[in-house]
Amino acid sequence: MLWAMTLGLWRDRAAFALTFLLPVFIYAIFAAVFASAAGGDFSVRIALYVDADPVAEALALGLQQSPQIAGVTRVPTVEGLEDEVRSGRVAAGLAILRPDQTAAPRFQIFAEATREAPAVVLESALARLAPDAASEEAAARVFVNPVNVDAPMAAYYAAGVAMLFLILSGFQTALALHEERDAGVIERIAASPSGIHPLIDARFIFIALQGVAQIGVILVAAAVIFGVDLGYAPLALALASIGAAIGAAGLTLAITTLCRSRAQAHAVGTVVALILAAIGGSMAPKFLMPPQIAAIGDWTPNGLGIDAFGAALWAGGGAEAALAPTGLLVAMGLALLAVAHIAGARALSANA
Amino acid sequence: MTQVDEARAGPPAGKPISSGPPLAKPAATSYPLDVRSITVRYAADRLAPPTLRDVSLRIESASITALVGPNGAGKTTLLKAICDRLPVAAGEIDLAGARWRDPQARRCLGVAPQRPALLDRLTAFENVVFFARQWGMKTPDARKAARQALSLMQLEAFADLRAGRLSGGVRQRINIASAMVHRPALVILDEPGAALDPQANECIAEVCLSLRAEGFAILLTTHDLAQADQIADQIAIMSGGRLIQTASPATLKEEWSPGGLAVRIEMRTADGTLLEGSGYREHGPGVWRGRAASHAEIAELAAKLTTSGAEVVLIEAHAPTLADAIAARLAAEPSDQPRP
Repeated sequence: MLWAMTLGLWRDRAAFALTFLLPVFIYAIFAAVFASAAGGDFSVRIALYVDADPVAEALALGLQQSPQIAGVTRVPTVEGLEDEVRSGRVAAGLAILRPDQTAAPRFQIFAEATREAPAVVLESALARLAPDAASEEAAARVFVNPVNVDAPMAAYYAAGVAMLFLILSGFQTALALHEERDAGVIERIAASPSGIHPLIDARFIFIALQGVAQIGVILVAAAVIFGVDLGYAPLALALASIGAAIGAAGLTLAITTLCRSRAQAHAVGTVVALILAAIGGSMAPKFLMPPQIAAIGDWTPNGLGIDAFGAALWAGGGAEAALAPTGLLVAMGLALLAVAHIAGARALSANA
Repeated sequence: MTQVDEARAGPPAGKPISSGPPLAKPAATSYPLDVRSITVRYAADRLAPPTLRDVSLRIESASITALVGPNGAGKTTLLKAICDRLPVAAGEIDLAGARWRDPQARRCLGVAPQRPALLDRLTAFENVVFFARQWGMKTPDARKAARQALSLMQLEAFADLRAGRLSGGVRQRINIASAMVHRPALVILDEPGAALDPQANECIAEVCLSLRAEGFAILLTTHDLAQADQIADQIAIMSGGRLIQTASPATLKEEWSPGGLAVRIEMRTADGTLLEGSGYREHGPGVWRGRAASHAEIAELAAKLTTSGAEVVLIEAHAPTLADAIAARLAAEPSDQPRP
């Protein structure tokens, strides 16, 4: 009996891969993503403004050589520093100010409220160079967020969790296509004047609308339970919601139609949703990840969705800042809808 | 007179058959289905012999055609070709006068798959409306037509129940209602009685006769030849990817089972020389079929078999049926045809 079971597992390559190879793959991703988050070696990329002063310059040079600083972007003004931090191009910003050359330099650390850890790292690096700088009087913390400074992580995770569940529930809804194929409904519809393409379009629209409603529920919960302010940029919020829902609908439909069976689609969908959540920032902010993984995460629906929601919920920038990630999400969703049409016509009606 | 006989004689009393003829009624000079010399081969298997070869079939309005033949004969392939689900390499198909590749021609077609293809979470009524919408009906029309279709199928009592909770026979009737709700010229029923108990199967036969009385042309595939004999106007026999004969049940019986008794003999010993000499054909190991003029002739043959040392297990004799006629017709067909 055991021999037959072992042989069966060895010959079922999909089950074999799911049992032994996939866990290793998932482990590697999660370990890479969360090792830094859990307190591994942590260095940050910062933006730096320095007053024209020899002492301030000497401190800046020392800071650039600190092992906790991964890279430095020099900016000519303090406002430029804020922009760099708000855009996410750097993890934190530091202004070294010495208006009075007879006094000690003063420091301003610019942080984004959802990324406070880099500010702490920067403070630590600064304290090693100039122990006096660690005092609150010497180093002021400035948050660049225009909204939700008091509940930044509640706002962030509203977006992160919304993206995760948009994809999970999108897969769940898209699976109905396989159920309908197994029940013969697809075969029947394939013989109708319009064929199965309107069915795929309808499923796409349904998943997208369901997604918008789901985001709405999560945001309302965030506002009611955690006091997240939704009123800063309503247009950006609407754009982000629509883009995220369209992107998730296209992704889930494409993967579902590319799978041969409901069981396969269910397994693949769950794994894809978890991986995207891990590297896209739904589980932990991307600044905690190794740069290579964070760069990949930027192009996932989760990463794009979080960026789009950030424009309305924490980082600011409004509709203008939300446009680019929203546009990419919509383009991704529509391209994947086209994939779903091609794959669906071939696979879903294969038994018809 | 059985219920089926009554229905065959005309619309059964008390049935709401007043919803009018099929909307997609063919023009006076056209047929609901006109298949002309089609050849089909599966795209993935270009070098293999065609799955359907030179098949022609014409179906008239208000008629029932039963497509019969052994498994692999090409019945389902022919249905798929009619539904434009397979590429037709040669030949033409007209649906109510329109070319079958024209998507609008499919409005003339209603399809009820073998296994009821329904959305289990919707009610019977919602299912029928859903499929009516798929065939291009506006929602108010679809709802009205769905009520009529459910009424015709005697499903009013089940209209508001979820399809997933209904019995196989009721689901099959909803399946058929969904196929004819848009009142197509041709309704295709793929083995509608498969996996149903005899009572439910009898009900399906009544449904077919009701549809015919309404003016629908019906093409059904079936292995139930007794039922086909009861309800069909035309039997189309398929074998090896070809349609080898199309005729009425009476004509087939007359041509292939003329008079006398149909005889089936089972023997343990395989020497059938004596039977071959008497015009019997082998239909499997030790099973022979043939004809006899009388019971006396059968008794005489049995005596000869015993004398010759054959070990006879069973001899059956009965008046010839459509099944006998079709078996004889198939046996007369060369068996070198490709099987799909």
